[in-house]
Amino acid sequence: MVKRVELVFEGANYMRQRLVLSMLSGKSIRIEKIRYRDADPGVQDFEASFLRLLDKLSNGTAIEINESGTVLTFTPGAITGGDIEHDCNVARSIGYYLEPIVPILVFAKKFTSLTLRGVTNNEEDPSVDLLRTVTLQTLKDWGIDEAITFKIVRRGAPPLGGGEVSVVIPNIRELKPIRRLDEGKIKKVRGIAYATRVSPHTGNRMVDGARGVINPYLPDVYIYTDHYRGADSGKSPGYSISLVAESTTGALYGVEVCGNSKTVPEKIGEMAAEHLLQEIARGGVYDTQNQAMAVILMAMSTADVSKIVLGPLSPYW
Amino acid sequence: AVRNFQLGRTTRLMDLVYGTDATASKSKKGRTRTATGKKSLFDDEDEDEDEDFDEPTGSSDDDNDDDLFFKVQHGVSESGINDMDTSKFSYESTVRELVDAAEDSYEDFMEKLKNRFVTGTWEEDEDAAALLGNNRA
Repeated sequence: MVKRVELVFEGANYMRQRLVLSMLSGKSIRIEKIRYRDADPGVQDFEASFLRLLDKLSNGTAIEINESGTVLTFTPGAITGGDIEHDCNVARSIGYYLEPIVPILVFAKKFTSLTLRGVTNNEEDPSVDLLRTVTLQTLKDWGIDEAITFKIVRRGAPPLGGGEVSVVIPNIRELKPIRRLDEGKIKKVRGIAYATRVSPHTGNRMVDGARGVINPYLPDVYIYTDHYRGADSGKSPGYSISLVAESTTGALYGVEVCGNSKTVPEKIGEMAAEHLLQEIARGGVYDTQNQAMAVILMAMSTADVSKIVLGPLSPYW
Repeated sequence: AVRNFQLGRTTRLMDLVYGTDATASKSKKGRTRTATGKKSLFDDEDEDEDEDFDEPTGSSDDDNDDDLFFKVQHGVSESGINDMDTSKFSYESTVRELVDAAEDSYEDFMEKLKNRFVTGTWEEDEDAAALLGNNRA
């Protein structure tokens, strides 16, 4: 029997990243004192759903949670991939589940076809639009450019969700090292304003707000409106706008702002444009959302040294 | 190692992790199916009680393949990973210093922004500047 060494962590912060790095490195981890002082202590339901997804992606993974839920022991198995369906907990969006597992899927044993159901856009997690337009595009830098597909089958706004996305990510044996030191200058901005179960004009109002801020700086701005109705519109009303700026060297900066009952759509568009300008000013070849993934992929690439330029480091949770 | 998933919150959490019937389908020997990994989780057959829990359970057909894959995937042998020195983890303190660095002033921010667009001319837009200023105040 091989004696396993456990890395021991405390607290619920960085839980997804710790679990993902555990799978990539093959090391067991033990996380203690998970929200042990909270009124609702221990592992939350959405985190248990993420653990279940990791279990589906692998073979031989062992997960233990103690009686109070405050101690989690995770022993990773082999990453298998394959055809997987998962119902995500609606407390967090699909981006919460998909964003951290992208580096895992790259090293899976099989080609992975993933169907995730739940909330597609919310205020705290990366939206499916940004995953499609920014996160998965950055994989091409590491030589993963074949057959990545991402389809938003249905939108699902919180609180009930009802959305569905289908994503195919190929597996490769090794990542090539990268060298991206020139962030370039912003040449165009693209965006998607979506609305479900609200007035079709909502999307246009968000676009007006965003263009009012960005157009003085850049003429090449196209923001598409996407209105869902009927079976494709999920279970709850909602709207959001996501913007992506592309530089002359291919750097992508993405932001998204979701609508809420307290803010008019024009203001939502303005806020998204302001956030995009802040992302652009921060610089780097990867935006704040994708810094962590870029660093992980650099660490997992072959022995040659990779070099990238990042803006100010952003907190990850 | 004794695994007890039978009480309260843990039962519910493990149901979420391993499916709604994971804790309900204990073997005759009183152990939940979760104890021996995925293969035993979703099969109805009872597992050998003396099975090594600490080893990831692969299918019998491709055990050797799994070992080879592990080496290819992780670049080192499994025993090599277990020998790693993990006592020097200072990740959080190092990164926190960088994350908590002071933000730029509004003037510095606007100067950076001006240099990031391909357009050769820059026209001051008071409304946009005001919006950015309010947002960063």
